[in-house]
Amino acid sequence: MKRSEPVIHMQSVTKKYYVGEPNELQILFDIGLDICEGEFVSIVGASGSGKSTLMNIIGLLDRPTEGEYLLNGTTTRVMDDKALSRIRNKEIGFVFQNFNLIPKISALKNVEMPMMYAGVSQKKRTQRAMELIELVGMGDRYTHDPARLSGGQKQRVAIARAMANDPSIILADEPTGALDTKTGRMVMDLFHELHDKQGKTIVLITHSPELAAETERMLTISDGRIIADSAKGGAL
Amino acid sequence: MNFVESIKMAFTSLTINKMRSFLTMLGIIIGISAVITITTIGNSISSTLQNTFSEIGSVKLSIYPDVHRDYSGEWHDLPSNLELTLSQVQELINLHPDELTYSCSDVYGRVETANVNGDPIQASMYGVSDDFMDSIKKQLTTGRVITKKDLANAKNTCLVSDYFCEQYFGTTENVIGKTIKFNTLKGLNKGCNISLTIVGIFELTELDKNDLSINKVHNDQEKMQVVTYIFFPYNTMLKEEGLTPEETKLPQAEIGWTAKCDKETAKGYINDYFEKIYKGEEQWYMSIYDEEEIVGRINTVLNVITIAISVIAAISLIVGGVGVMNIMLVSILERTREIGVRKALGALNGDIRSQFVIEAIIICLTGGTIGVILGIVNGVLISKVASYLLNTLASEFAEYITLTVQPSVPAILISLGFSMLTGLIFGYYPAKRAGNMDPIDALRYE
Ligand SMILES: Nc1ncnc2c1ncn2[C@@H]1O[C@H](COP(=O)(O)OP(=O)(O)OP(=O)(O)O)[C@@H](O)[C@H]1O
Ligand SMILES: [Mg+2]
Repeated sequence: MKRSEPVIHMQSVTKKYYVGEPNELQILFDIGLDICEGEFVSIVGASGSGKSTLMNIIGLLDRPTEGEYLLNGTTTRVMDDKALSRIRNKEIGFVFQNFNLIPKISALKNVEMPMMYAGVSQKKRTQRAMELIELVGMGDRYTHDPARLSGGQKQRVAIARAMANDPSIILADEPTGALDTKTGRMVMDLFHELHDKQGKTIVLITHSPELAAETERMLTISDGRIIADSAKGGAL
Repeated sequence: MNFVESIKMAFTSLTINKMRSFLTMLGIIIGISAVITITTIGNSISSTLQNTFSEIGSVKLSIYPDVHRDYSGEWHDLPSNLELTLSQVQELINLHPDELTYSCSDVYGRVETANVNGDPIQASMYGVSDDFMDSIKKQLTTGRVITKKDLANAKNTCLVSDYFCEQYFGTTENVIGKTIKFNTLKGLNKGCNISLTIVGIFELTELDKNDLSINKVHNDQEKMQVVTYIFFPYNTMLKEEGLTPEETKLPQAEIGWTAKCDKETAKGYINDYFEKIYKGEEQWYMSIYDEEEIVGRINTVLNVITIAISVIAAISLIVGGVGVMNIMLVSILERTREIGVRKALGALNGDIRSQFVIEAIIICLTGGTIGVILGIVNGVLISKVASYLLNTLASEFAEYITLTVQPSVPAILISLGFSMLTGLIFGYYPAKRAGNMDPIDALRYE
């Protein structure tokens, strides 16, 4: 696969809480990271090491305290909330450990939601949402609301939702964490499919060494630092 | 974001916790329903009065001698030289012939005549002025009305009903110009004869017939008979009664005005004329009774009540609004994660804000709509009770008063508008808070 400019480029990124206060807390230290288009990257590390914090910065849900983060070659430092929302909407698809489907509305409506915020017409978004729901194998359940879906089914709907605006990056924070091995396997297969067939850049946080071993590249985080990167020959 | 989607979402969240939504709306429901109830009643009273007056006839000024309210001297009866007479009224009208009008009608008596078969036919005879038909809003089917000329010359002309023609001639064809001799049964000149020539025919409606029918035993057969009206010139009546206008005392007179004049000017003319006559009199004066003033006074009272209720409604809207604000804050807290997810999916602050503002407006508007419906139902029920009471307790007036139930459309629109405004005002702060939430904090919220 051709590797071009990195879609994600981080340089000296830190994240601190309670900045300037006596209880100042630094979570991420001097993160330098490049992820290229079409890569399937897994992030592993102990609980509380800062994986989700890093992922949220990548996903523009959170801002780094210091350092530079370029997404598709453009700096994100100067972007306002509106611009960040637009990029999240168009360029990034999120898959969460706890699914985070909107309650009381159907699976179909959930999948439509990113398209609704993108201003896609009702007809087009229903059509696309149906296609995606078929793709994740939920065609027979699209009218169900989240309360009437199993964990695995919810996660498949969530993946369909992440794909709605055809983003280039999929960010998945422990997507199999709440699922048993078998359903976790199905979800993982879906990610492989999106990566292999659609060339999506995927960043996946997992606690499972087996799942991490399936990916092209594995990053290990410990106490807020990247301590190993398989692309650079293991431990740094 | 999508407006329709927001509205659907608002209704969804309304139905999720129905009891809570209802309690939230209660303040608004009570406030709005109170206003709509009172305005429905008020509007119904106004339009009932209006309809009643327009049914009785056009608006006129009634004049009659009355005692000054603040008179504290020795009481004496109205001196006979101050009594209202026909000649005074006629003189007043003649001073302003194009501006003032005087229409009068007075019972002459019950008369009887017989048709060719000898069947007796009874009728009530009234002396009337030339504009009488206008004032009772009746039109002739054939012929002409009684004219000023008939009046001035005390002509023996008359207007009869189509029903009378059927009784007397068996037809309404070719009866204009026919002269009929009537025999007075009741009234001043009992036992007199009067011959009148028919100049016009008016129609007797079924309602009139019902009102006028009496039971009559004739040839041992009980028969329903309708005693119809016959109208003839007022001055002819005076002539028959042997009276002059100076001798004709009137308990009161109804003075009207033409398009060339208005009510206030007419009042001025009346006052000017009678001030001269009543000069030096301290107890009595010529009082002018204005029907419209009464309607106006009732309307003023209703308006005051409406304003008072509106103030109460405004207070309950504010209380209701605070309730809505409280519930919105709770709901936003409950849905923090959802807000975080929506933001992660690309919702702008404005999208979230408008979603919750719309939700608050929908809550208030739903409450307002329920309030309006309840208010109309209340108003209609109360009006129904009023009409029942009117018919049982004051049945003699019932035929004059047509109860009209009419909710006030402006009040409804204003109420709904204010409900929406309440939602907007009290929903804005919570919605803004939701919109400004940090996506990551919202997502991590437990
Ligand atoms: N808003 C916050 N304020 C203060 N500290 C925070 C905040 N958010 C996260 N942290 C801290 O940052 C650290 C890293 O959290 P993070 O969620 O990134 O861990 P993680 O590696 O994803 O762990 P896990 O595998 O359990 O999900 C934790 O110690 C956490 O307490
Ligand atoms: Mg985590």
